[in-house]
Amino acid sequence: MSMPRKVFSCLGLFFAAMPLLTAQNRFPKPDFTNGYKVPELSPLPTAASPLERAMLSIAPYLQYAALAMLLIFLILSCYFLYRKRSRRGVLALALAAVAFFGFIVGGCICPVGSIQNIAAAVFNPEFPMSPVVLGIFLLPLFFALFAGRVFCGSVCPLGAIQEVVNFYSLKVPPLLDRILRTIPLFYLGSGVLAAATGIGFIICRFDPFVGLYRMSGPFFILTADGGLLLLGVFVARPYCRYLCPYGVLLGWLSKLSSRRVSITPDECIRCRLCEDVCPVDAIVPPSPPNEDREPLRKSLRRIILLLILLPLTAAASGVTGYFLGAPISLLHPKVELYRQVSTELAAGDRPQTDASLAFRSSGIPVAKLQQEAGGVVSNIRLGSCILGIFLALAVMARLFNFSKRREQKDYQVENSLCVCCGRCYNVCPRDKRNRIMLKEGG
Amino acid sequence: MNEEIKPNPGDEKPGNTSGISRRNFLKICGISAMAAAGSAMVLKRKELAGSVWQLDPEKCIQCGRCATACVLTPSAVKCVHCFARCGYCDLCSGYFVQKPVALDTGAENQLCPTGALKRTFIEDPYFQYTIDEKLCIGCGRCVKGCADFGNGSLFLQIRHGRCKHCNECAIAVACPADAFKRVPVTNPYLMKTDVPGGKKT
Repeated sequence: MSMPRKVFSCLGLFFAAMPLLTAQNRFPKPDFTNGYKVPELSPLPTAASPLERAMLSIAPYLQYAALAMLLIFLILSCYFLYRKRSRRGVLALALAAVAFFGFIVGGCICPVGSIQNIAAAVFNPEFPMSPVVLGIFLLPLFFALFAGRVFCGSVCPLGAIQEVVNFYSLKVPPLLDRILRTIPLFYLGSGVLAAATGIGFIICRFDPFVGLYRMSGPFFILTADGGLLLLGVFVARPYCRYLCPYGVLLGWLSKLSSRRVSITPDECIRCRLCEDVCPVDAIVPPSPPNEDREPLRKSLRRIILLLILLPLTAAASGVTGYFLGAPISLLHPKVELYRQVSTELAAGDRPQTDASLAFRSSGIPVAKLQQEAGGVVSNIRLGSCILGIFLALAVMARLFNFSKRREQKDYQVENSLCVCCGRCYNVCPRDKRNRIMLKEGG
Repeated sequence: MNEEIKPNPGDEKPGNTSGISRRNFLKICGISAMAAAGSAMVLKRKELAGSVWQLDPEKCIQCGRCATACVLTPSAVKCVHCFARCGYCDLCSGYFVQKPVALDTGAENQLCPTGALKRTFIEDPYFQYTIDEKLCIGCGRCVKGCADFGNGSLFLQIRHGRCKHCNECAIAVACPADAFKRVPVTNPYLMKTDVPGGKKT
């Protein structure tokens, strides 16, 4: 009765020649004589643990619960910031966000990463898209429209952990700050390009804090994580200010918000304490008196120069983007696979990589892969051309903003930069509670 | 040609705006655009429950990256056995190394690096193979053995009780066979059933 063994040794000869034969029913189903009953799949789904079964059955609702929690956190953030004017409340909420969105939920899916789901869903009709993902993407933006970046202050798990560790705000030199603040634009642009063309979700891949929340991750991410947190102790929110792509969107929308952190409920005495304590340099001093400003003619000339340069830069950067498209497309797995397979086939080699092995044993014709890879390359070319133009326009708009004249009499918060941490409330000597405390103390 | 000097947004007291200001107009436009685009996108897809990652066992080439690329250690991917497909062989190519010293449960004969595949005698010459899920690390060595020389009754699946549901699955990035995809959360496993090539839906 050792038939299976014999069959096995015979077949072994064939398999030496074709190791990639797909799995088949090589051996017949045995006829058991002792009443043995063939079990179902092991350990799935019947043998799955009760916990797993329970988790699976409530998984769809859990996602909605996470969305509801996001809404609750955003409302609480507004409440502490605008109604209670409480830095302590904001900080407590940030701690709660680290615990809930970070360690309990595990980080995914967060609004920062959801940019890519949206981009992928817009450009790829087959990409799955659920109302939860859409809600997670839109809710903080919606709040930014009406109340500024309340999401950043005490809801975002990435921002909250930096808020919690930050205890000293080293001032970044203004020029360096302005230069570094363009990085998020590039990060946002490339993240959307990569997600839309199918290269991957690079914003998630290089998310520095999710590894901490999961207590595991690739070595370089965990190192970057530790480094950023350490930096965040002395320089407030390095990720939020100089990397976060979602912050760009929040910044744009919060410019429309009429609600903002009003530093003093009373008349400003221009003590500059808030300007010193602001961790993200979002507090803009009053505009200087007219005689101290640069002459109108000079700023006008600069703006005209910028307007002339605008189409030139946009065109140049669009063309650069187009030509960078080919090297960028090598990051796409399909293009890389085609490159590998075609070089192997040209040299008459056996498959060198697992990917090429998998492709060549799948029976899909190379011509199909070539066609698909070609489509991907042209998409990426077009995308990076558009990205180039977008980046040029965005950077020029920033330069334009620097040259714009402001009329402002008090120390005021620039909404697009303010991360709603509430530190300025605590130092303002005119703040009601501070005044009471001063009175009681002296 | 003078630059338009507009009052800074914060200068106006809240609630002081009469009629529709430019900002409010922009806001209304923005919200309606967001709502319209969003609902169009979601309604087109009809996946209200959301999606999770899963690997297609028909595409899997058992390269072993599932065990190493996952953000979890041990991986969220584990082996699953479809008994209805199994041949119950004495010399199981998923259980034994290429040239076993003896067909017994000796560690030197076992392919599984953690001893997660258990062999129990049923009747001559049939043996039942079950997976001890706690020990399985998802390396896929048994899957490869069974796929190459057997019935292909062993296969890998992401276990959703363990999976962290990363927005970008780290194994999906590493997978050379493009076997990972997002599947509806209401039907989160891609099973092999007794029909070769068939999938439970």
